[in-house]
Amino acid sequence: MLRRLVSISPSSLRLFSSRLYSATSSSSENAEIIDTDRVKNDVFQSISNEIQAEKRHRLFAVVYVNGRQWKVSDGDLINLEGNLPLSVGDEIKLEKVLMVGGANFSLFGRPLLEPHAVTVDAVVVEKKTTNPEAHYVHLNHHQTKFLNWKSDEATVVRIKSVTAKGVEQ
Amino acid sequence: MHLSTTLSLRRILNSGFHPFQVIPKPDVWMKRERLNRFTAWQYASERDTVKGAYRKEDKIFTYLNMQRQDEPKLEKFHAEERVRTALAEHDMEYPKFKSILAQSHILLDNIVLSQLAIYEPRSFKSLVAFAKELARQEGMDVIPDDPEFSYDVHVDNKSVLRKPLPRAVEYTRGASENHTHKPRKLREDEY
Amino acid sequence: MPSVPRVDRLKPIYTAAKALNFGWRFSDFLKIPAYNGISRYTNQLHRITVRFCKQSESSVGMRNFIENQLVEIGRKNPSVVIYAQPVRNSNPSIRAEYGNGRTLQINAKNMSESEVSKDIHLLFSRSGEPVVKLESRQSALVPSVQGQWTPITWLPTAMNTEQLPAKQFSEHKSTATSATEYILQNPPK
Repeated sequence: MLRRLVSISPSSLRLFSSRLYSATSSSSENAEIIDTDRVKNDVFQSISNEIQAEKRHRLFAVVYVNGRQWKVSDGDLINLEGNLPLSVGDEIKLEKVLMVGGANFSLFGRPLLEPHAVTVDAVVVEKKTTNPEAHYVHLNHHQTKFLNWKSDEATVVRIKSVTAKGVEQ
Repeated sequence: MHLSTTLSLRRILNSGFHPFQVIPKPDVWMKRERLNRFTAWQYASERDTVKGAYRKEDKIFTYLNMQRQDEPKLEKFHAEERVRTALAEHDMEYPKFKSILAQSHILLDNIVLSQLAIYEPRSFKSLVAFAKELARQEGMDVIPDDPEFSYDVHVDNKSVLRKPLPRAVEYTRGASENHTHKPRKLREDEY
Repeated sequence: MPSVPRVDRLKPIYTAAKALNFGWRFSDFLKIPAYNGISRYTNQLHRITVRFCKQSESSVGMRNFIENQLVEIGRKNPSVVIYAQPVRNSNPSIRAEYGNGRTLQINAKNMSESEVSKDIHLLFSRSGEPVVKLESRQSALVPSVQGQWTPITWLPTAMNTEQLPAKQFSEHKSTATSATEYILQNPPK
């Protein structure tokens, strides 16, 4: 089975690769008519089959949280800056997903994937203060020194699961 | 008892201080302990003497401050370096790769791209193959992949590539036209 | 019974001298005890002991807190055991014991009621992990789904069979045209 890579507009880009690779390869010199629609359907079908299969498979997702992009999978811990309006133990769903992938496929959002396609569930596990950092100013050639120890607040979130059951076609 | 000899020793001639009503001075132990917290791990006189320790403490705080300020910049720098290296392994150039990603509205930043390159090499390779094919269709010079690992790419640059999405903040380069003009006050929606 | 805590104090840091200039600075990866949150979240705080003096002025805020807010907090968090321990001639303090066996102590001397309440709420929301500098903002149980990159991930298998050095693996690939290529493409007239 060849590796297939297909683009669809405008929201997402799907790539599929199989673990077996063949000895033959496709090169752009051959005047071969490739039925893009058929290939597209093949790739989507493979991805859907992969996701709907009964056996356990681990997915990772790239998620945008708190002004930063994180590559997460099941069981990951994330340290978010600040005292967010969440209580400890709250279950949240991370909605801005830029990418999802598994062992054999990747799905890139342009720029974000559809909200129903991927579910990234998380739970707030801890809210704490961070390690105090020294903010030090010493004006050169003067005795003037200012030392402040500042510690931020942080929220620790555990990613419970990344599932892509909502991916269609 | 020869008290007068003992007592006279306690009298300092023409001194403003009363020899017996002594004003207690605060113990210096606490200050030394606070200093020692940072300098107990130093060597020689920087650990043993107060003067040496204070000089070292000043340096320690300065370096801590510098390292704290450099952390975010270093993170971005290292991420970019890793992405460049990963692209070099797949014979792709960084400016071309980034421009194609921007035009196809894929907003993954360098930090996450470097993580993909390290932990999800196949996903990264497929993204590079996608960018290479689009670059080739755009007329840029690209080195084709090794047939053993190459992807079968089906993309059309006309339908995928658009004008890049606008950035959150634009940092214009260079000095301003007239340095005596102060920057304008921010509007409320710009906060 | 409220226990005698082995509390976190500055003293152990001096004894753990390392041959580093920042030997006093601890850093660690992001951790949560007992895989909390993967299947179910449980509050890691097990016991809070509030020690105060019935007479001294430094315990005023603590006494007010116990009178006004402590019972409410106890009702809201049924999984946490709360002890209020009057101790004569002592500094008021809050001791919190966590699921990973660590105890935290906060000296509440001369704190107002609102300050005590703030600290108690912080203790409720913490897990028992110590406050250290984080090496990384994330940590993962399984960092790689597709298999972490190794130097042989993208190595051509032909390298195993060929006799090295082989010319095909030594060629320099570049998109820029070399001088030789340029002259070949544009021969001088």
